[in-house]
Amino acid sequence: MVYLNENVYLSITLIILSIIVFIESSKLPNIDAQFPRLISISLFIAGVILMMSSLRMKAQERKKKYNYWRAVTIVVGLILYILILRWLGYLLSTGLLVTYVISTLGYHKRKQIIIIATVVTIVFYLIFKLVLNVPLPMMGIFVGE
Amino acid sequence: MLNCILMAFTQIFKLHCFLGLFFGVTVGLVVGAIPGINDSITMAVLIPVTFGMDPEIALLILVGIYCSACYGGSIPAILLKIPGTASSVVTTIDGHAMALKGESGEAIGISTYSSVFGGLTSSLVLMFFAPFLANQALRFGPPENFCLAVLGMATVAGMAGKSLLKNLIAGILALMISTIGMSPQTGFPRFCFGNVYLFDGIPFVPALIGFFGITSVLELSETIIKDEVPSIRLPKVKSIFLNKKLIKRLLPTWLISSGIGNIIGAIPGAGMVMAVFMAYSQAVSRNKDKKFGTGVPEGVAAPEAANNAVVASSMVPLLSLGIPGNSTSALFLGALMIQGLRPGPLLFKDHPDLAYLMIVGFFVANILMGPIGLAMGKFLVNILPKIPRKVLSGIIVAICATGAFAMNNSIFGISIMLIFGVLGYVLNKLEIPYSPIILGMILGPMMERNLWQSLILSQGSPLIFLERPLSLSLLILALILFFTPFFTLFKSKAKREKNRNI
Repeated sequence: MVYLNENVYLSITLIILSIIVFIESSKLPNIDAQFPRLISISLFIAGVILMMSSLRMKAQERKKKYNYWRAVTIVVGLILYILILRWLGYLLSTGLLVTYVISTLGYHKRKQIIIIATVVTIVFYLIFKLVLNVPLPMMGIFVGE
Repeated sequence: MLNCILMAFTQIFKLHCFLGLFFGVTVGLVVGAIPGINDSITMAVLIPVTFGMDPEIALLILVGIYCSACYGGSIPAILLKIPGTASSVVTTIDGHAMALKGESGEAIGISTYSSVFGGLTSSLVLMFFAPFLANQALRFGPPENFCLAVLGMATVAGMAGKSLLKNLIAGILALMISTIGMSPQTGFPRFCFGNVYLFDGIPFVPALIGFFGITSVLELSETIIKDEVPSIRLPKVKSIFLNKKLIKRLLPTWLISSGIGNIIGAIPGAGMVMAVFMAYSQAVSRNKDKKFGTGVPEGVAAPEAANNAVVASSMVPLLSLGIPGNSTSALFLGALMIQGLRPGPLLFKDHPDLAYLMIVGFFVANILMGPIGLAMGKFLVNILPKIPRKVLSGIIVAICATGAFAMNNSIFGISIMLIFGVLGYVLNKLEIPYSPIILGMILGPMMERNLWQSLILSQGSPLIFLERPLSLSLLILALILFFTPFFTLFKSKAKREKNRNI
């Protein structure tokens, strides 16, 4: 099966993005809209040039296969981390995050993973909270949120 | 003046002063190497602590941190492809490529030597040319600053990458991202969609952490299957020191990049990142026979010499005129005021001992930075490859998330890190470089703000940029830098056609 050049899809995305930005800019006061409008026009032109140069290239058979499911899993893990951070606090959430990422990448020595996650989280906590005085999130139930 | 400098040298080698400087350099190296933590945060935390100290020790600690933090950022940039500080962004390009070829020791060595060279030149500039440079820096008004930003963006065209058009697209996307937030003209929120966290624009450091840290982990997740993939071969211990041949080869790059760093550093508001990109662009233009992005030593030497050259020269406007050159030197303003000192011409008159002690401190800190940095680099270069990459990735994600949070003490920073991590991953798939995006995010606001201020000054006439000699020169230089890669490409295409016809 033959696929269109990926750059064609990119150029379509850029053209749509430039149109959206141009439309959104029209809702702004005139003086604030000038720079975004100029940028959106530039992006539109660049998108059109990219499309023209991409269509001239032959459609290629896709040789690369993207194995992006692990990447998606890690992104989902980070989204969950953002959601639970406020409730579980820094120590527990980050420990779980480290465990999750290492396991997702295929490291299967469970005891080692738990030790590594614990040590890493505590070390970072000490550096950021105690040495650099960064107020890291506490567990939500203690803060009363 | 020479008497004061000699007395300062005598003072700095007293035990309490030397230990303060040594402590500052070590702390700076460590915090510079941690993504999300930089010299500004560390100094902001330590300034209140220094209130109770002797002014000499307090100032020397801060000098040490400032000098070594931007060099410290190059270590994770080379070993992990994550810049520890924004000024090490460009070092990741060739630095990490060298590490993947098994030359991580050499890359650390080049970074160290380059940083020391750049730092020493800027401390000499600060020592002998501060008043002259400060007067020149005052000639930069809004039109000159706008043209300087345009010059910075013009380097995008020449950056390493497969496609000129994609470099330009990346630059335009960056300018688009930079319009998010309150407008510099009226303060009206643009493209914030009601989110108050976006009023100040996209937070830069979390975006940077996402682009490098999270993107590298996402990319690694594709390639790791069952067995461990060693990515950095163990180097030979001796390769961390540079041989005479390599030093001779890199000397022109060090000189030119340090010059760029010194000039840009002395201009208030110009910033270290601009100097770094311009130095890299210069190195690419001068070394057309080398393929940058594949582990070229000049690709590490240029940005590292430039970023350390900015350090002491950014103190030029502060010490001479009382005007901070960047956010870090603004912290020095606070530190001096806490100690009851007022920077400016009177500092040299009323407290010459402290003024020259600071200046000499920059010089000695850069010398100290060399052996401490090499020792730390050698330690990390030997330790890191022994850690399984899967485990290292988990640690990287944790430190990235913590660093992204620490910038503004906000979970929103982690969200930005994630968004830009995914964006970086997608951009890599589409072969769009993200170095231009990083540069554009910094220069976009500077460009827009100075454009409007210039048009207000000229009552709407764009001729102001052509009427002032300095801004005209910068514009001409920008045009040359922008069109040179197109000209080179056209010339090589014509040559290929000619050879085909023959």
